[in-house]
Amino acid sequence: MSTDDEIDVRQRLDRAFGTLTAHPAPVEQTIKQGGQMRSRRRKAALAGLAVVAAVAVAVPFTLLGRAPARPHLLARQHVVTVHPAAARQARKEGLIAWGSVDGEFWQLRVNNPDSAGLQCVLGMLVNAKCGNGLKLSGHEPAKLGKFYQATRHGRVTFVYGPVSVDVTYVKVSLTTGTVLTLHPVPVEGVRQVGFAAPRGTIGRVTAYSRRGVLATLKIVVWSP
Amino acid sequence: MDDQADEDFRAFMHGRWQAMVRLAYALTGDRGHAEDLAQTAFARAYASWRRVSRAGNPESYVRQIVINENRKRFRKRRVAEHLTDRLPDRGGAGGGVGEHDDRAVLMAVLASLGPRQRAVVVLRYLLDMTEAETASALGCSVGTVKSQASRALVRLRQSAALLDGGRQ
Repeated sequence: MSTDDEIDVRQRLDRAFGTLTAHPAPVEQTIKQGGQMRSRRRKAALAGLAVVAAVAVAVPFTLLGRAPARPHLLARQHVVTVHPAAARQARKEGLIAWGSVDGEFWQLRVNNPDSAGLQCVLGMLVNAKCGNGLKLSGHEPAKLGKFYQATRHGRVTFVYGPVSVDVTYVKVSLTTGTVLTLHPVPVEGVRQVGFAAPRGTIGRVTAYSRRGVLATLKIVVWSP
Repeated sequence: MDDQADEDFRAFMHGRWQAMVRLAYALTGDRGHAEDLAQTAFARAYASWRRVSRAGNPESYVRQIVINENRKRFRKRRVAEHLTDRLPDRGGAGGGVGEHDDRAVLMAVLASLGPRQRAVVVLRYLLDMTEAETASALGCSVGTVKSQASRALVRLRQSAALLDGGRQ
């Protein structure tokens, strides 16, 4: 076995499968199928619980207290989620974070291998050099780090930036009431956070250490 | 599940569907099986979506299900593979004629490998996983991955179709 053989196999596999096109993703059907799997699991769990409850009948007080009233859910205009990259993806692919904005998948990654800049992915759109390094206006406490705005993809703004070693997590409050929690991910030796949000909804960013609030930054997003 | 989690899942599935079908296709050699396998994997991820998304790497979770389900397929049917001279999947795929030929030749060569050897080749060389990651995904030792990869490469090298120019 030689390295040449390995490289040859890699190239052939990439070429052969890289262009394969599948049918459109059957998302709704999959959700239905997944929901059925979950309800089967729940039924099994409930059956187990029923056995436990039957045993607990002899106990004079019920094991379960009264459940607290569920808070009223405010209607939100936008649905935004963010997840930190797993360590392997951060290390190998330069991925900082991923999530969705109003149902569109997004990713923020540092371009590998040359680190030429930031790559923003939104749905099927890939912007290979979206990190314009535009520093966001606002007070920037040294402890928090610096935040930059990446080129916007239409109605979505990407924000990223390095944070200091003291920062364990960062909370981003959107004007819609949503609060995103960002966990720093080491990418190319720098602890970074990143997120995407609908244009004009980014409000305040607060960094937390293990002991509590480190710093708060009110972000003013540049708009042309 | 709430709307936000559903939206998150929808976005994730739209984003990674093609990649998972490609992986499943490389493992199974059959487009129908590949799409079924990928759909099952996504459905199982949806069933545990809250936990999966919290873990931070849903793609790896779905990929592992595809690999496991493919392994189960072989276990259940004992020998479900039919070695054949026919090049599979002749029509309808994306890509140009050269790419299609390359894929057909590759599929024929991959079909001549055993299920585990094929999985090792796909994980090591298509997904670019390390030997340790491949071993972990396949539930075997690093030594097994090395030996299977080595044997598979010998087989692939011996295959004139692949190494002496599959496109001729």
